[in-house]
Amino acid sequence: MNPMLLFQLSWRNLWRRRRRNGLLLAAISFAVAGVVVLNSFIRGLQVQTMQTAVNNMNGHVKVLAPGYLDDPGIAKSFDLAKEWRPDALEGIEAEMVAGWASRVRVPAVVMSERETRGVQLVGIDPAAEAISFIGDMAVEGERLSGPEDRRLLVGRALAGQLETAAGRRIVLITQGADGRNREAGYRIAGLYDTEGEGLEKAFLFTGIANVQNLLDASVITELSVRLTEDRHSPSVLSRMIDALTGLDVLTWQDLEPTAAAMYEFVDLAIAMWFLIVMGALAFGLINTLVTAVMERTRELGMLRAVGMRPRAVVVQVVVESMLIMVLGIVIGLALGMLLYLPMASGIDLSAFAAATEEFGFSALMVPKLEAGDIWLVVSLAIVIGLLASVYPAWRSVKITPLEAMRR
Amino acid sequence: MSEAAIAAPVRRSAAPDSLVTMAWRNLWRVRRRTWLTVAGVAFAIFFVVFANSMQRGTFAVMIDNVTGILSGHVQAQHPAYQDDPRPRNTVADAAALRTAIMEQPGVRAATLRGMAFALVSAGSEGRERTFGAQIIGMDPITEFASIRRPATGRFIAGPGEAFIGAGLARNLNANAGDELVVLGTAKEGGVAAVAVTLAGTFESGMTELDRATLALHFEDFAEAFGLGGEAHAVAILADDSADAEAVAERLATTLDGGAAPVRFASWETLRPELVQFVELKAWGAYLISALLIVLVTFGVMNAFVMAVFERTAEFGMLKAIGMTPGAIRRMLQIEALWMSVLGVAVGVGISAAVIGALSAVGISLGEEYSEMLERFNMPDRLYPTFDYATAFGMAALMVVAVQLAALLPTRRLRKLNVVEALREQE
Repeated sequence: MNPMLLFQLSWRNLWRRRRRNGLLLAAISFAVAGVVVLNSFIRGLQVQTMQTAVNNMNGHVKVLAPGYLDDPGIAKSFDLAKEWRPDALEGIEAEMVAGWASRVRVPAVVMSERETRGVQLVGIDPAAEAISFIGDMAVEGERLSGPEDRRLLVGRALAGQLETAAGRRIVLITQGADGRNREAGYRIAGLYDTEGEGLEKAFLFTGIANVQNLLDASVITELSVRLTEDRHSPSVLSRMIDALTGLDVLTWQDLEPTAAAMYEFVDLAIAMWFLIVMGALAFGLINTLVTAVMERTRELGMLRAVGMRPRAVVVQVVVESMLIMVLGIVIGLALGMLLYLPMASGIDLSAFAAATEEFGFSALMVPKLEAGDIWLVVSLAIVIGLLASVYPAWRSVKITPLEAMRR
Repeated sequence: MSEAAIAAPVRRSAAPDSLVTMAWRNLWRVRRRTWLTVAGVAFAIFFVVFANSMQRGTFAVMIDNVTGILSGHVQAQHPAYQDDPRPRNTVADAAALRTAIMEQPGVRAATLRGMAFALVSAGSEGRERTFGAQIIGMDPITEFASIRRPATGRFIAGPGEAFIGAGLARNLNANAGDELVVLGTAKEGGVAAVAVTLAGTFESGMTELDRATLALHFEDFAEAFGLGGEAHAVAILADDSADAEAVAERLATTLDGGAAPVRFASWETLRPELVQFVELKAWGAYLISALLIVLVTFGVMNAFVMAVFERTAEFGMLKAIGMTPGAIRRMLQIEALWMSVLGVAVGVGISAAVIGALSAVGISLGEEYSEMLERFNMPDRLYPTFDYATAFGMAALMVVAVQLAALLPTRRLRKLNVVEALREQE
């Protein structure tokens, strides 16, 4: 039978029961829109988990001396030529790399006139730190002027504990490369604010040359490379492993396994919950399609009697199901976009600030709509539409002309 | 088609019980549709109840583990300690307070704690290593914290010993038997110094804790930091973590009026991020539940539109023999009620059975997530607990939603014209 004719037949059948098919269409659209919007929330959280981990001075790829993670200190350090750059390596293109930064990070004890705390002293080159949270954190007072700056940036929470302020002096004690303790006083340039208090209490920043002078060592303890896109990670990683023999070259997933596990888990969660929503939809779809077939027993029997093939009857039912599904998907996607756009700039979760901070999310949740997810919704909906038409189609071919005429 | 329904004579005001019977029988005239609708309702109920029960199981374990590591369910502290944890914010007469707390119902364990920040050094003169750490004074007899379980060596047995996180031990390059020096600021501002022998190390799974915690005997702590008979906290373990808030309130009312100011804070107050984490996840679950309910409601509404449409002739007949449109609509609402009750019963029944079976054997969560589970302090087997609140809440919502869904299609019965309706019969 002419496919165009079959299509027309299915299309017109849909319009015979406007109210019923309208409701079904509403249900499908609602499901698709809901899935799209909720999915963008989950994806947003997932991307944020990665961003937080990468921003946390890890970068996408990080170089450390072997053993540094177990025993962080200047004894586990390495030297890299000043002019070393990741994009000079064969196979790493300049446009893959967003930036890189060398640091000296050592445990230290900080003392004010009143209090003593354990911290990590991080020597940085401020100009290179656009790749980490250091680049965009708010600073009250002055920022560090360069790698030679001898002043400190102190977290606001730590300054509170130490009862100190910008412009005052505090004393640092840390272990030199020779194993002996060094002690020196430094002036506080400014107080920095980050999203949570965790970072503010953990890190003290100063110029990298300042730390190297204090420790009598011209080495570094870490190098972070930030990439323009996460997908470049595997190739950059393998090139750097080849080039930097004798050093540990790690990804952010190695360094923050919790964030990485969360990141992986999201994909599974999304797929599972797509399936549940579409499953709930399937019951309504099957119900409507079967009723549509049973109502038309006479009509279908007549068509069979005048020579329509069983296959054509099946195709008619399937096309009907597909038509309503595709229409529902289109409306649903449009509705989903309409709901998503006003929220695209972010949703304020600061009511849950303590939890978002503890588990590495930002208090501003920025939903993220990905083309891949939209395709997943669309293809899953079409598969469900096909599956839902199996039983009604099977019912439809069981109708014989004789049985139909008897009704 | 409709013989069964109209077999019984119907008076002008049909008795409610006959409407109930009629509605029940009507359901079974198109079995396939009824079962599909019931299955849709059951499917939604099952997934929401199942997901919430799993989540509840996870939260219960997480909260028990997180509070069990160190803080306990309730802490008696100086009113200012939570916001300003300084050595001078202490609880007076701590031992007597502990005894009084232990006598209260709902309290499983209580132990004294001293807490301060100090520098810990190890190693020979000139090559010593120094790190900052949280110093905790603990009484080995009453202590319940789960970090008490040693990874190497043993927990402190008496004065003169220390028990530290594995990360701190690594950084200090110290082993059991080594001498550690603790140097900090005493309560009144003087120097607090104590030398202790390392007895063992712990691994809590929380890197921060393992890297910066040292426990020593409460007596050593009290002497070095000048506490006298005071303590920084009495950590309390309630019989059930869910009752922590109630236990804290009871302790506050019964033990108030003592000489020194004390605040009883439950884990909900001490660890707001845990409460918020649970709430944040709950909001996610609400959104998904809401979406499922709306979807199923659409499905039911559709089933009713079809049913009412098919049965126009039957309704015309019922009206012709004297049944009021109101009674017909009541009958349809009762049909909807039957349908939702069936769906709810099936959904709740299946989820109760599945969760019951799973809570006996537990669910293995696999190697892959062990890292995350460790971070959140969850065991690798999960024992879900049936979530009655969600089950009944969802059931009630579903019944109401289905009643509303049935309202729309039955509205057209008001305009039902007997003659036209009967003509539909052909």
